[in-house]
Amino acid sequence: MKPTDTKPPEMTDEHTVVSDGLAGGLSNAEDTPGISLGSSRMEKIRRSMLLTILPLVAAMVVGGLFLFALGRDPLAFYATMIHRAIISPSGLQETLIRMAPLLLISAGLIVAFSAGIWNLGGDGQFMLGAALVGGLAASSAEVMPRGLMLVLMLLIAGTLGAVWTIIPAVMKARYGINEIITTLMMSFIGVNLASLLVKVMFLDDRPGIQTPRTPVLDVADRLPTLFGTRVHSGVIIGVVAVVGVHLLMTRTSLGLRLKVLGANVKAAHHAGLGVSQLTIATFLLSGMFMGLAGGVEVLGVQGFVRADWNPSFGLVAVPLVFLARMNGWVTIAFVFLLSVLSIGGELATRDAGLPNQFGLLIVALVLLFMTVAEYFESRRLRGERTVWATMAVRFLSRGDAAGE
Amino acid sequence: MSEALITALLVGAIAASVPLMLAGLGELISERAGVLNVGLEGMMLMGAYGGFVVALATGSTWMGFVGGAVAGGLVSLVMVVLCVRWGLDQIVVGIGILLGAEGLTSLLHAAQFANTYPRLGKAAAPSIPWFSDIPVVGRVVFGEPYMVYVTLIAVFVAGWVLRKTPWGLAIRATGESPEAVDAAGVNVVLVRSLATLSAGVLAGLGGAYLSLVSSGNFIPLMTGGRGFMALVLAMLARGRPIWLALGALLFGFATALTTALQIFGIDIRPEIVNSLPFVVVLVVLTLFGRDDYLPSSLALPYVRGER
Amino acid sequence: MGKPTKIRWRGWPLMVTVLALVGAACASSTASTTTTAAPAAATTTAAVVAAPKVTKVAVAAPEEPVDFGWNQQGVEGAQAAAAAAGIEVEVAGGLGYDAPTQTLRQLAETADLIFAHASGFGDAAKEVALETGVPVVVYSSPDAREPGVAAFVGTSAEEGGYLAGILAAETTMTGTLGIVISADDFNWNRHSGGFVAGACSVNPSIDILLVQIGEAAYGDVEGGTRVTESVIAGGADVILGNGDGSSFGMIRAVETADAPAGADKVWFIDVIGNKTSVDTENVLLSSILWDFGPTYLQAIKDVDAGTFGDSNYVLNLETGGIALLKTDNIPGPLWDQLETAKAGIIDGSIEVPAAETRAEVEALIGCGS
Repeated sequence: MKPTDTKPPEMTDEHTVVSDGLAGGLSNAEDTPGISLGSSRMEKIRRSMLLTILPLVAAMVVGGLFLFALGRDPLAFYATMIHRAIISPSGLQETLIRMAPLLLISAGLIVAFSAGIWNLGGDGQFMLGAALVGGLAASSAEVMPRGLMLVLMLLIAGTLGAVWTIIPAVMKARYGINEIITTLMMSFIGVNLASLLVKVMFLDDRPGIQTPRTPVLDVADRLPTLFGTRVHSGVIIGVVAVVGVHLLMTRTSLGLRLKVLGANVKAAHHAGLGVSQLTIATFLLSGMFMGLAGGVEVLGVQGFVRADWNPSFGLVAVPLVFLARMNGWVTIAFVFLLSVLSIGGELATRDAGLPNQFGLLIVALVLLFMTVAEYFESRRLRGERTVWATMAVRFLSRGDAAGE
Repeated sequence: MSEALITALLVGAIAASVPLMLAGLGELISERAGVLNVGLEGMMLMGAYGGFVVALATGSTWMGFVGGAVAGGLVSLVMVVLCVRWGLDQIVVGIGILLGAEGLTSLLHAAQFANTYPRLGKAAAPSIPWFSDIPVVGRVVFGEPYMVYVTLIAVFVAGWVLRKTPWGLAIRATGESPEAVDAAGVNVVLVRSLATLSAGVLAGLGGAYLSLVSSGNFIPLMTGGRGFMALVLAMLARGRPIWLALGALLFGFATALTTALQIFGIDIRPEIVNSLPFVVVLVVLTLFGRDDYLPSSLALPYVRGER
Repeated sequence: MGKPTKIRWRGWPLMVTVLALVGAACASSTASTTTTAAPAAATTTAAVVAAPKVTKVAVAAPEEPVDFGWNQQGVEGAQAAAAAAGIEVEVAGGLGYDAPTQTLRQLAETADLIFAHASGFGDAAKEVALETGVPVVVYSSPDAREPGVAAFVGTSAEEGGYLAGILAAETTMTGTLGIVISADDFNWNRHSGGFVAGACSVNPSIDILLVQIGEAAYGDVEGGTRVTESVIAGGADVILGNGDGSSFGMIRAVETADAPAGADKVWFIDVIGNKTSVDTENVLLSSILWDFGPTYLQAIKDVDAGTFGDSNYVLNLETGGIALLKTDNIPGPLWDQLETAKAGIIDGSIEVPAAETRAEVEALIGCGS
């Protein structure tokens, strides 16, 4: 059996797209004669906007239908959502705060997926980073200045996350064992281990505490907040991480090497790229970001870690990164969108008297519609059109002689 | 250490393994054809809900299983259309399915069952004269709910189909090299669609087993990660249904073991016991996983005319 | 391969979309949130000078309040208290445990008192209270108490457990009782420890099986069924079931399992909520009821009087926060026996152990022999 080349689907960027994706047509569609969709800059911008707005609106419409069927007012729902997440200053702060761990996790995923590595172990890496920081932060704050403590904690979190990828990394690099399973397994083990650490090693065992948890880090010792708001600097760290990863991928030779690895392992071998080392380096880098996300969440928001706590940010970040096609800027925008849906959706759902899980439904709809929009876009770029589009074009250009 | 207790523990072990076996079998088939269903958990959940609702309405467990199969199958149609037909990313759509199923079933539960929590009675099991009277074995081997036997038969049938029939060959070849299959004149999209559909149907049955037989209830998010465990078991089974069944049984026994240890007063930290199955998987991989054995085209969309 | 393709940055169209939606929202908004300036970063102690009249309370619960258990009792208690005080109540259920801080802040924008109804919310709630000046009722730890800021509600759940233990020991025909817990949970351990002690007080040679479903298996309904079936097969004919969603699995096992040798039927004792209305097969012997209404009402009054946070609250037999549910399945004389025991606990003549860890509960099993 030949070794598996499980690659993530096409990641288009400034470099040539893999042949196994939809490459062939992508470059030529704009020049193909007979397709009357122009290629001017205005057209491109219009198409971009359509691609983003349409699926969002479609998802909201379908969500609205659900609301209607349940006897709720869709307009009031979305109005509340937008107001809470963006307009109300306190709500906007919460939206930004929610972005911090998602951004860091996305950075880790971009690195991994670009290199064709399925790091699905984000939850375990996150939890171990969080658990260590939760356990050590409060006591460290007593013996060193706050700034030093924060930096130290972040280093520890990142290191833990990276360390937790070593086993899957080596198994893949040396033995070619598929990392989907290994990272998933390490994730489950990691989450259990984090819980064990909180209950046994890092337990705040003063009497009367009802849930097992680490000691709580004083609010004054947490990540500094920005401009007098409640938004903590972890958000900045997240943005810097994503932008940094984006620049790494697009501007550096290391990034190019990772992308070649992701595009075609054999080509990477032939180019003498040191596939083993690259693979391990990718795992470590990706895991570092995951662990960092856990540390930031503890140092910025929670202040402690409860046993059995697991927010599972990793799961929902995966589709985001894919939809953004591994592009850092688009990822930031999508993370913002997801935070809006979460924070705003929570209040809107509550006001509508619906169970909290309704918010999940909305997120799912947005994901699905955006994916569908990708489909139509890629088909168009390949020079094909659906029956509907063909009919639409014919209808619209029925007065022109130049139409098809 | 009474006979009744041993019986209950063994029955519990098998009950814990059946949903994994069903969902895992479906996933195994679809993965061999090259489709990865990250949303398997969502299909199980919809199957659990669909089965429960139908069984409540009709009073029949069998109808309930049909309902569960249909529900799971319908959900998998989303994968068929978006991923197999249109070539969209399987991971993204899978997660979308998962979140959507969780949201939808929780909503429906809140609307329908939150004030009454209806429960189903015990599932029917065969009663064979003489055989059923054997202590322990009588109940465990001959007295399981009928669906258990259906599941075991399904495992053997799937194994035989995959290895010995043209359909099985088509599935396996599609997973390895869709281009070759296409060139040979077999409809790749059809093969993958059917494989994905069987994943949905079987996952739906697995979920229905949870709500109809194992617990007699429907509670939001009741699948509790079993879909992911089934995913892992399918990957670990290296494409062989028998190994999948054994893996599921192993996992079920490990789960029942945690209960047994406590009843007998042996104390091990639950986190350690709960991690054991995953550690076992890693060990097995290290010892036996040297060759990469997942189908080469797993999770890659096939578009005719590319490459 | 063709020429390279540039990706389009689709970020800014997204921003435009959002802004357009914002415009539409402003036009038709009926949202209830009102804030102007953002509060300053967390300060240390917030001073409460005059005690404002409470006009609205809020209750935050981790699960939806349809569980016939912790969440439902808490929300119903808050609603009852609000009704009694003639004020508004906002219910925030199904929050999960991941980031309660953000919801609590949002609730603090309009509420004058928040019931942070989960032990895992307590630390976040206190921080929000210090930040916003809105007092909170917490379940995290007695040390969280701070005048004007936070007060802790303790639950002497073991007192109810003791009564349940007496009830079970008097009802069992096999001499074996079962305790099923969905997690190594503080409150479950309190129930269980009291239960064991109460059973031992009736029959020192009683047999008790204690099984935990899993790590945090509160909603594992299949696990509840499976474990309870095993416990029944182990001989138990009265089961104390500590679970949230999983308790429905336990009940189903009690309803469908064959009674162990020597017993006619298997009984179930529930915790926290009152499942009588869903007890279709009549297996509910009783329940260790938790009633939050009186305590929450007292909290509202204390905020109005300016004495909130001067002392902690407690749910116990004396305050009525803990009670044993009286069902038709408890014979009259047995109920009188329970009432006598209840009086004994209240006046202190009966001492009930307060086990907090599972190990402590296990140490009690065997009745000290």
